[in-house]
Amino acid sequence: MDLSNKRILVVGASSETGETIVKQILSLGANVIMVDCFEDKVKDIFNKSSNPQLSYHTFDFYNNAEIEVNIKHLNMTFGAFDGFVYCAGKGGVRPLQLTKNAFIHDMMNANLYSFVEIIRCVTKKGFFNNGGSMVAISSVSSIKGLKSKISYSASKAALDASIRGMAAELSEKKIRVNSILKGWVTSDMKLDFIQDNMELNKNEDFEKQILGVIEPIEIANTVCFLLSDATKTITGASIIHDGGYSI
Amino acid sequence: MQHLVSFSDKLIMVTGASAGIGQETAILLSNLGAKLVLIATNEERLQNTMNMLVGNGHKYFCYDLADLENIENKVNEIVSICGKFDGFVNCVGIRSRRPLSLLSIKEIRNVMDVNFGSFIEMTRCITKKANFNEGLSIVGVSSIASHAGGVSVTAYAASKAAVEAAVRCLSKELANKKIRLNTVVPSQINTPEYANLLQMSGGVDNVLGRQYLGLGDPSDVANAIAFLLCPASKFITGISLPVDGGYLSS
Amino acid sequence: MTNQEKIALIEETLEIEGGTINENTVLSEIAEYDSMAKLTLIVLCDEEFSKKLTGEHIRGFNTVKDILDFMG
Repeated sequence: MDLSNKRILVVGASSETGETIVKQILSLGANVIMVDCFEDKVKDIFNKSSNPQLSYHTFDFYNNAEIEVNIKHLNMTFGAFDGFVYCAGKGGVRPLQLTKNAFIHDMMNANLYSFVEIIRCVTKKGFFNNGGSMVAISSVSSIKGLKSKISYSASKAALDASIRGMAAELSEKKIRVNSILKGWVTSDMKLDFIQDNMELNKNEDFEKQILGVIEPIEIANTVCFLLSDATKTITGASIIHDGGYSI
Repeated sequence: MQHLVSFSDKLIMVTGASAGIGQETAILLSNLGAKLVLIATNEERLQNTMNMLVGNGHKYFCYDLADLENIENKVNEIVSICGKFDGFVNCVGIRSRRPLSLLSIKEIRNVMDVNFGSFIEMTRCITKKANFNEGLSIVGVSSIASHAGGVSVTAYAASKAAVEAAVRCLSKELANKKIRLNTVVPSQINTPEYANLLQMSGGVDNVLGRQYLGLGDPSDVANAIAFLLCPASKFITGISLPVDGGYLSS
Repeated sequence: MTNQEKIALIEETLEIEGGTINENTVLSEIAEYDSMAKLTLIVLCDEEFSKKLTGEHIRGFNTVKDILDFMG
């Protein structure tokens, strides 16, 4: 897997998985532009890295109005991209009776609307090279139901449906769009709402992941695989990477 | 169908009942003995559907399900007039054809709110203790678009996939209230909407080749919905049932 | 919000029949007080009272009054 001479945009780089993805892509020779909403974390990653092929930019991509102008800025500053990874997004649990539309919207906005809008802007003429690759981090929740995960599951399923449609539309330019249905990753375990949920549900759900919890580096490897030319005929696919959770 | 299922004394809500699959489903259910509550925006077309229903005691309410804020009040009003529900079929949905380059967030959001948001809010309200009878069955209408990669249907596909995913979660969450939820997944069906689409594309439909049983009929989908609503399917929950002339498997 | 109002809110959100619980009701004796209900309480405390309820807190609750006291 070689990503040298490729320019990859990674949105949502400040999460543990996002940071791992950035580092792995860099190690394979690519130029990486990290984007996140808050400067602290990405600046920190940038400062700690001595790799001249790493850059960063900050903007609130959950505010859709900011996307077009910032993508233009990135194009003018760095040139056309060969890859795009969306590892941003929100999680959360909420039972049906407390699921109001504002909560659904917030989840959809973070996991779908921003993603689609970024792709709409970054596929303008000259912004994304033909033969490029796009990867979204989705979840097995997209295909398997869990209590209190209505909005989250729906947003991930919507994300996966959108990648199929966009894969069809962008195929003319040989741009591939895929997603990764990830299971439980170590970094998830630290989130507050996961902790509470686990205590209440006695870890039953977690035990379905028969090969155990996933390390962020493994997800990063799958991302790199999809970004590379090795997968130039994989598109519209949702790759299950879930330790056996869904079987 | 008459031999397999009966809906006597059952109260079923059908949204999007003024045309197409919704209308056909309402008519079929009335033939099978159900009392219907129809919801749609167009009063004239609703009255038209009412006239085609068999039996008495049916009611209709004009309501735009895009008005998410007031759904709770509306459902409470309907229950106070009509009683508790045994079934709910959601056929409300807007189509959306936009190539990616012209796909605004406003459009995606609108499609999501109507096709998905209203379904969740309706489900949330109908599944409150006071509003349903034991054995409540809910059916959402999805589309092959949610599975297949169609061009220019990104927003529509996303909204239908959201419905299917939500149904998988809700079927688990509401199981202890003895409520079942499923979706039907139709491919190209012969409705006025389809006729419009066909006209716009100059009579060409690339999808049709893959659904090797040909163009579907609204009654094909209505039959599947009726089956999922009735007690004969009491062990079926959380599924997406293709009614697609072979499309998804070919 | 008065305690009466809070109890009504809990009853409505957890779909417990109105007027059947009071401050002294033991939680483990409420049929509807299952793991889903506990999760619902977490969201409720966050949304309505801006209080972060955790699994640990919940394990320490014995009666309805404990919940009311937490809500503040």
